[in-house]
Amino acid sequence: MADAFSPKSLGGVSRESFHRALKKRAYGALLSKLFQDGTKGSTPGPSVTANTPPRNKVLMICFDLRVAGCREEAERLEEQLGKLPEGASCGLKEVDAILELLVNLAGSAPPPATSF
Amino acid sequence: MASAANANLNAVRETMDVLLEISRLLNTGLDMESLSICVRLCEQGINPEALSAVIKELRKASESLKVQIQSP
Repeated sequence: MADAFSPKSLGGVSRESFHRALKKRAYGALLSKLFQDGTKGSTPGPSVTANTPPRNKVLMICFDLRVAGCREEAERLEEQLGKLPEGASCGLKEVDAILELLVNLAGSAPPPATSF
Repeated sequence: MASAANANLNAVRETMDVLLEISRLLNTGLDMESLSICVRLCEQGINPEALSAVIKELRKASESLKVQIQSP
């Protein structure tokens, strides 16, 4: 992600203007969401999975992976999920929030290049 | 006291390794540095949905800015 935002390859554009443009987009994304929440009726209702615990969402992704024929990835994902401790024993307070973030970002990166 | 802090540090490290592996399997595009920043933000109470929306938006903006600059 850090590389994606790096202006190294941006020719003559200054770092400041690049950052300013990105900041504007970030605030735009946050505020547009805020205003959407304020307008009743114009947005669809909450999704069925909105109240599903993030661990269950990861298990649902495991199921989808199996259906898609990616059995190894599904098993690896389940194994890693099993390793993830619950509560304070993992040293972090918000593991579920982090899992939620990962679920929301799932598949958002381009797939890794395959070698021939 | 120091051993308790060390144990906690080890627990955090192990959890981060597991989270990075989950992140890689889910193809989120986050590297260890980005994931650490996201974890710190979530630990401070940032809404994960809002954070993911901003990350996606910034990726799109970054790509479109690069295209704009590269095209004469």
